[in-house]
Amino acid sequence: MGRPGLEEDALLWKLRNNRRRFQRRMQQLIEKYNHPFQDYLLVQMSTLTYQTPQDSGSSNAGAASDSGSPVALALVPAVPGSPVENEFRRKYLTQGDALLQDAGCFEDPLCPCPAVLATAPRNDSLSLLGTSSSSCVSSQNFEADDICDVTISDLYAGMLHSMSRLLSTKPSSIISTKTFIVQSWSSRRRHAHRSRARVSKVHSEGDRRSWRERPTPCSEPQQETGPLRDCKNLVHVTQHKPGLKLDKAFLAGNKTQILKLDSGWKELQMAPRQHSSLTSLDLNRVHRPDQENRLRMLNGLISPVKVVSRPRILPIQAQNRYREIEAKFNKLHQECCPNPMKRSFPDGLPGSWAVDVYRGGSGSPGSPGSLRSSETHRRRLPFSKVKVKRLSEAFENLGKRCVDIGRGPPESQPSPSLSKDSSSQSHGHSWQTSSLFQGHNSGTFRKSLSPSQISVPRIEPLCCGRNRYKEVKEKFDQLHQKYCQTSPRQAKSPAHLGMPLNEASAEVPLQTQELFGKSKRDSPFQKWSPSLQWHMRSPQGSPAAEAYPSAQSVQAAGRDPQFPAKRRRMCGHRASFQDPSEVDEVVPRRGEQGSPVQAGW
Amino acid sequence: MGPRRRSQPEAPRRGPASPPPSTPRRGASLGSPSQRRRNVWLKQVKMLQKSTDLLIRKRSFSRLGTPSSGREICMKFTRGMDFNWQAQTLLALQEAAEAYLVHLFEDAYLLSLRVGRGTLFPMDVQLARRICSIEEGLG
Repeated sequence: MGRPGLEEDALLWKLRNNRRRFQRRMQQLIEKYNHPFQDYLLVQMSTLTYQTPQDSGSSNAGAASDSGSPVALALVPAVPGSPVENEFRRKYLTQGDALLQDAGCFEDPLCPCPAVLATAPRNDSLSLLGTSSSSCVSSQNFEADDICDVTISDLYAGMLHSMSRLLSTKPSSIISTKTFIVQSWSSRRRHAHRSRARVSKVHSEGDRRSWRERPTPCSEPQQETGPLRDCKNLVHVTQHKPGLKLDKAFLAGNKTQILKLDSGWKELQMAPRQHSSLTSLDLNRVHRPDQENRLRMLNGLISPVKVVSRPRILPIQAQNRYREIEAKFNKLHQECCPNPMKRSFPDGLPGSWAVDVYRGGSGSPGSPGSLRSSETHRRRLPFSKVKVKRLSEAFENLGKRCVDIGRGPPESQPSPSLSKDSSSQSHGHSWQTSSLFQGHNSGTFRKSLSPSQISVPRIEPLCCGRNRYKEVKEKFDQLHQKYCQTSPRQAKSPAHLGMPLNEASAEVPLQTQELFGKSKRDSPFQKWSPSLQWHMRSPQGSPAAEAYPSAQSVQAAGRDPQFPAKRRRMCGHRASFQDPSEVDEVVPRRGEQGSPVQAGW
Repeated sequence: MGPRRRSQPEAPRRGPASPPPSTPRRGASLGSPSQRRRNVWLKQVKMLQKSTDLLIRKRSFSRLGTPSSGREICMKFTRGMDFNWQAQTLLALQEAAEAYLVHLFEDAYLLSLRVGRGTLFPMDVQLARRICSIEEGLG
């Protein structure tokens, strides 16, 4: 009866034994592999601290007296940093300590001199600890808290400590450049980002990076005294200073207490600008803003922030650039275009328009400039359309007038009211309207060609098209001669006129299309170059008149109705170019056939 | 040397050996074939319990850490991150894994012996895992 029980007990006992063996084996494995990789530091997870090789030597001596105290090992910040960082830290600390020793920082009578402690033999370390432990028991509580509350300043505690002392002793020395950077940095960003700086972003690298970009809200003296005010971190620093040899003198947490008092007193003496909260040496009451300021200062000192100008000033630059471009354009315009052409742009349309075009092509470097350009474009759009309509009607009338002159019997069609309104415009506006007209032409043409390009190109610098104008003029003359040769007889009969004229006019658009195809993206003069040449001859008489009804008849291509309008316009252009008096004759005549021309628009 | 894999871990390897189910006979090489076979595996057990080297092939074990080889166990524990592994890491894991398996087989064989069997069955392993788990086990 009891046997099953015994068996079960035996089984359970065996299983328990197995478990113990397994646990022991696992513990052995953990101890076996619980060493850092190469020079890395092994951090104790319970205390988040690690033991330095110097501490390991002293801890062996003091293990008997102060065993089981995890604070003994918690003398350095828990930084599993790279060996490079450790070397740098040690190097910096040695230099800083050398400077500090020269400055006589350890001549404070109020606190036990670390030099004295450093020179004390190891045998006396226990006695020292014994004396100090009794006096500094009260501070042990918050020391443990401080150790648990590791901040980023602890990572560079040594540097922080040294630099704080250096600042107090030699304010214009080594760290001057960094403080300057910090100061300038803070002065720039202080006002703009005051509210954001209160957040502490210490523990993560990413936050640190972003935080560096932000300004510090605190005043500069506060920043300078930030590291000075913090005596918390000074605890950990002095332990691994080879110069002071404090680590040999102190062992347990009492060490930290002594150093705390030491550093606190020293700071009170050396840094008169310190915050009043430090007088109590109650580190728990260090305000969060102070810590944050200190951290910010620390970060700035450790790794000086590269001040990069933000693109806030870009609009100003864009405006300057805009002005430069405008000035250059106006200059070019003045050079290329003669005075009569100038008056066609009373409000400086082409200059600003070209600048806007430039800006639109470059991708709007500045928001105000681009906005302005868009606004001007928008303003011009309705304006130009109205002008275009009026102009088209004007040239229709002009063409009709030419036809009348050529044929004799007038052709009358009801003219829209707008044409009458536009007739009141002086020739001085003819250029303007013509330029707008041609600009609209070019704009529409370009739109058809490449919508991805500048959406509303209006007028290109006329100086660029002048050469092209001559070329096109020659071609137009050739075509005109050809046309005149083919259709001299058709002037008698309108019926017959239509057909060959149609053919001729069909040829003309084809030829003009060829011309256009050759020079698509050139100046707008090309667009209506055939018509320009055409109109060059229009004052001469019949060819233009003959071409006009033919062009009217051929309305298949959208561009054909534009030709007569263009020709008429060129009539006006030509007239204004050569004989301003003729313009008066041309412009007032409004084309009765406004619709076909307008259809083209 | 017999095959590397052993199916009858009779007693714990590195601790005080529990009494085996059958008494070993000295000079069993001259005995019957069954005795000879028994001595063979007994010797093997003793030899393996004396040794401390790793039993699983290192190359096979390292394939557990490389996702490219199809074994993505490490990816499971690293949340999908593809880490580089130090050799010491793999060794530590292999040591721990082998120690755990030995412990598991010991418990399972104890359970199989309790019911009078000398052969380890999967249900013994399952029962051992159930009994000796953290939730229900002795620990």
